[in-house]
Amino acid sequence: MAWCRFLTFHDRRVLAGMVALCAVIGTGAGEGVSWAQACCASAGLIAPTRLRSYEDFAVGMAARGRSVFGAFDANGGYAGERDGDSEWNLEQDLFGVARLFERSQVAVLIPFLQTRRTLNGVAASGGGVGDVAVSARYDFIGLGEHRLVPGLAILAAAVLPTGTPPEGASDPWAAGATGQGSWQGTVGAAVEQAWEPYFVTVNGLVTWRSTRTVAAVKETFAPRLTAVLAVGRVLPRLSTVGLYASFMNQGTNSADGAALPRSGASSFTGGLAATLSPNDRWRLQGTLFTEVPVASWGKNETAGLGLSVSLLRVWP
Amino acid sequence: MLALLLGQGCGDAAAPYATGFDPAAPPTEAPLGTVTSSGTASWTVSVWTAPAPPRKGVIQVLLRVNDAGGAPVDGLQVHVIPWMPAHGHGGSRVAPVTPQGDGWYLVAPVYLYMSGVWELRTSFEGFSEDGVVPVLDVP
Repeated sequence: MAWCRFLTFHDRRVLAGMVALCAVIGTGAGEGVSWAQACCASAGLIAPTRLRSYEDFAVGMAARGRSVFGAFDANGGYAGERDGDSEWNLEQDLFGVARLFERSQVAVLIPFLQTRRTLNGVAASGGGVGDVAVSARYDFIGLGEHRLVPGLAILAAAVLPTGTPPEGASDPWAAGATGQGSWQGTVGAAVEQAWEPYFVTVNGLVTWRSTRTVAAVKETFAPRLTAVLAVGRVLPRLSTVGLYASFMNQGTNSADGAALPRSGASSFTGGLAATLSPNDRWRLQGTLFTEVPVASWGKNETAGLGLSVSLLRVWP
Repeated sequence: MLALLLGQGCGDAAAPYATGFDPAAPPTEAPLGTVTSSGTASWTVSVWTAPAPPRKGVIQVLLRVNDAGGAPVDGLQVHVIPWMPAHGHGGSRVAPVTPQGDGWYLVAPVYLYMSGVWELRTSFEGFSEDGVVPVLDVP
């Protein structure tokens, strides 16, 4: 789900966790400090590859780490990792975002992924270039254009199968897998509203994944639905803090036209996010996220705790 | 291909075949499951795993193939592909299949590196319609 790195920062396997409510949103500013408006600073709280309204171009790099602590089965049952087993996912991204015309922006992200799995006392590591993603956004109504009308945007993304699928990895635990082996397209909509200094963003996304044929079996994937809610507050000097929740659900896949029972997947991710802007040329963005490790809050997905940090050079 | 859900639940230290199957002693326990292929051969394929029930990591799978009359079927070229249907991918290693005689086929090692539902897409060369798909719940 590389598009999520653009649009939701949802975990690739994947990727749900306890939404850690944090009072930091209510933190006030010190005296004599200039405040930005939510309409200007709210963009990019959870997705670093998004320009703010006054920005035209940005390049950046991101680092992300995640430790898996459990998994959901096909019925929603949750079990923690066995003693001695572990999985670490690391990722570094290079990305660029450019504004095209006034209301649209396009981003390209190149991920580099590493995984380390230890099972039965045997460790395996691997990694490489992942699935390159391209995303676009068009703001029909910008946040703050109208006092009562929320901002409205359409979103689109494509993921190219440039990574190594699990079948192509050389280690027994497929730690060298960096891609899903198929194309992926996403469309969605985003609605934003601000009540200074607070803001709310809701994203709804539908993702389709192209078929895969492996060992003469044609695999067809059900559409994946994702909803993301982010609530934040603007702080001095264009910085922001907030929390977000993301829910993903995918229906039953099929093989050679026959439904694959118990192949659906879902997850619920919660996280904290913040941006820090020392000036209008640099921005630091970070998230702390987890999948909710509660039975029935996920299916056929792993659960873990992760941290991401992004650094952007911005040209207003 | 016919799919059949086999073992569920968590493995435990006392599970049979915790260290693998003994080639000299076929299992006496009941199989995790049995499925009959839908092709013209109508084979009955019984499945055991070591450990049983299966769990994340490396496991062994033992297949017993019988014909419609119950006689063991030898001489088959069996191919097994571990597959995660929820994620649409397989494993990184081919699961080697070694005939054991008297209708027994040992599939080992099988690397199940993630929790979740794993299919063992099993086909028999020359009998394209007689494949079976045992399904394993791996906690």
